[in-house]
Amino acid sequence: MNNMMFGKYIPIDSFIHRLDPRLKIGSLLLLLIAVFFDAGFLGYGILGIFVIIMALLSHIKVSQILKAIKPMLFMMAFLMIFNLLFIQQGNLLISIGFIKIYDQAVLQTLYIFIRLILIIVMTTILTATTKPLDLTLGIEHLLSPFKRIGFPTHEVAMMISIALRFIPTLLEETQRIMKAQASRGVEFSEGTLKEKILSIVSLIIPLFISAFQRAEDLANAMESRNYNPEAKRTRYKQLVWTVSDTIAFLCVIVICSAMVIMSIVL
Amino acid sequence: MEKIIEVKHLSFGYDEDILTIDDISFQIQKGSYTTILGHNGSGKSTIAKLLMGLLEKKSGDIIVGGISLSEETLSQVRNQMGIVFQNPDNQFIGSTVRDDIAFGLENNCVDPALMDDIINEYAKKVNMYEFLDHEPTKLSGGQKQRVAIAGILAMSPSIIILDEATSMLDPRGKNEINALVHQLNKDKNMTIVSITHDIEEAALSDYVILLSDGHVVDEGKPEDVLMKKDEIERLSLDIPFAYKVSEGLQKLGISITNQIDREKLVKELCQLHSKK
Amino acid sequence: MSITFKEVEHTYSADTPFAYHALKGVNLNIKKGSMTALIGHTGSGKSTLIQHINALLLPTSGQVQIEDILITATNKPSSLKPLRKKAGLVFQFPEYQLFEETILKDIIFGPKNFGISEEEAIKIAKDMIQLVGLDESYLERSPFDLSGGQKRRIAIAGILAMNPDILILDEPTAGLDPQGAKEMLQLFKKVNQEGKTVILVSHDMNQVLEYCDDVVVMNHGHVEKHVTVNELFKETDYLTSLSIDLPIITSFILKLNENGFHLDPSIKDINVLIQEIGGQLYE
Repeated sequence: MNNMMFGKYIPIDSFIHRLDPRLKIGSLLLLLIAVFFDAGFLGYGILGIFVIIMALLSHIKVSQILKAIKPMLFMMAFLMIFNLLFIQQGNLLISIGFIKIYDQAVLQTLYIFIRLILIIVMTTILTATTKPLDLTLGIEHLLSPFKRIGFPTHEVAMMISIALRFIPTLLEETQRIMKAQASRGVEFSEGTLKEKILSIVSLIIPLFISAFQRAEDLANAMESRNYNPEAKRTRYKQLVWTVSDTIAFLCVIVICSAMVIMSIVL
Repeated sequence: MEKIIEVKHLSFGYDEDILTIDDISFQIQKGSYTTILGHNGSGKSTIAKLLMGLLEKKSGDIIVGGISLSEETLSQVRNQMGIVFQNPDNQFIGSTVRDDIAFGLENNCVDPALMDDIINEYAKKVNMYEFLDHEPTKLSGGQKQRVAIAGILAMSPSIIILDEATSMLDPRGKNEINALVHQLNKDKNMTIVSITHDIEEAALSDYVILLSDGHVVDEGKPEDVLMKKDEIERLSLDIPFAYKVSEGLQKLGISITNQIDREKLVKELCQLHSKK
Repeated sequence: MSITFKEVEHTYSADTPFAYHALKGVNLNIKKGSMTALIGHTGSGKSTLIQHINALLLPTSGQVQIEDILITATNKPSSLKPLRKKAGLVFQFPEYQLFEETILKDIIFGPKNFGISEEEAIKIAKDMIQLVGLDESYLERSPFDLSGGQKRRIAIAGILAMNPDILILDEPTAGLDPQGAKEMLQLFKKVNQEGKTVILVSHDMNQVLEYCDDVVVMNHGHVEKHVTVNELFKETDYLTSLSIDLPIITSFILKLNENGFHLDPSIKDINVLIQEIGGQLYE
């Protein structure tokens, strides 16, 4: 049967796995911003080394990182070619027919490549080392200041956790409904456009109806167990900030500051 | 015995004009195993939801542990009861067994430092301790229902309502849950309200409330209620096996008492056999 | 022979770390026109097996033959569509597959997928809805207005409307009340008596005893036994070893036999039982 690992979480143990999700999310955000500062090749070199160290500390295999980059290659190539052809600044390097490539274009395109690779690798490290539920918990904690201005932080986090809990269940159900409809002669991969649309309808409507029924049942179950999103409630899972987290955070701040400074100075 | 649940002239309808529950009154004794028996559509699940305050009654009174159910007392009433619903998946909230049992504790503001011990204790009580880190998709229906019961027990109710809790389970799952619930009833004096259409289960309970089309048609001890053959058949329910046999034997002229209890019938027949 | 399995193996997700060997060397012949029960513990392979009969699953190795159609690992799925009509498979809780605006539209959905004209399909739908115990006035209603039990009847009407030669039912009475279950099984018996081969996957031995002729017992991916119902219920030790709950009537007989009675454990009719007990008390 289907056994999907959602969010590409890789269940091994490593220094990065053990870090607080709040730290990891916050760091990713800061680093993503830092990536866009033009710190020159020196800056990107330093950032690159930092990312490589993180990847090593996370014990993720190179093959897994490459697997994450693979789906993005097409988009990256497209972006790069687009940039190469349409930025017309600096000195002309090559001219073939009406295609003119300038040295600034080459530089910018290289930056795009480096940035995209860094973004993909950093995000992959985050999702590979943090369980989806821990991510949700981290996000909930980070967004909790917004509760004061009325943002339904807890409710959103609860919705995400329940959605995560039900994804495998819904996937199984989709399979079941597809089989049931296939048994009535539906062919999901063949037929005219009209037939294909009808096939999808025969899948989506039962799924929706079932999802609504589940939602109602769940609401009853939650209420019966005294759930009240507006009331105070304690949390089983506690996030514990350790010394490692502080050290990691300091490193991130240093690197980001370096990037910013270098972009100003150089 | 004292009554723990009292329902007085309860009425409810999903639509304006049709009453799903029509002027129902009954009592449930503390520590009893009471069955609410009826065919599908008789209103039995609706009663369960009304008792838990999940639906708002149109009129009448629901009194649980002396507290009358209202919007203000909702929490107090719910704290005394736990309910296990029919679909094992749709009441499993946590991503693992552990998280699901914790859910109720979180709602009740239990100190997080104490939660692990409580979770372990109740997981052991329902024999799911080895499965604490399992996800629901890896569990059988019976196992999920056991987790639901653990989650309920962790909130220390005095009443457990089973809303057709075994109807979606295979025989093994059914047996597991029935055995667990009977044990809770005996050992912990837990009041059990079982909503079902299974006559053999009703035959083993302490008290039966017979429901049809939103009315209480009869109530009493199983041996009194379940041997009213015509009434039972009219309600689209089965007559207990033992009763069918004892009645048939009586027609043959054999002097045997009418029974709903299979074990007792076997004993009596064996006594007759050894006497001849 | 209507349905034949020859050395059928099925492995899910073969070549991955999650490979699961669900069917192991299954050999089976199911007689045309029989009403056969398929029993076994959860995970024994029943669900996998029945999905081979309408070619929802292809064997990893071995072959399945349905009348004159042969299915092997290499058969192209689109050429197997006729099998979906020949063998109508009703999954558990089939009420979840309803989706059309009206009951009429939902029932004719299946037949239309197999080329039946709309006119013809509507005629068939009118027959089918009555066959499942509801009247024609239901046809214009939305399927979602009905109760669970009624929805299930509509779903079954939709499969019967395809006029399959073989009807496969996976726990068709799960969640139904006793009256609903009885009506459903009587419908299948009727359809069987009219010539359809019926396969009933069930955990309820009372049903198997009362309605089926033959039984296939599955255990960990193997077909362990294929015998008549009478033969199976004589082997009560075997059944208990499989952790299968005996029918109420059978375990009652066993208890009596432990204490001096000599009753045939395969008795399925309660009236026959009453006569037998009476007889043994009078002797």
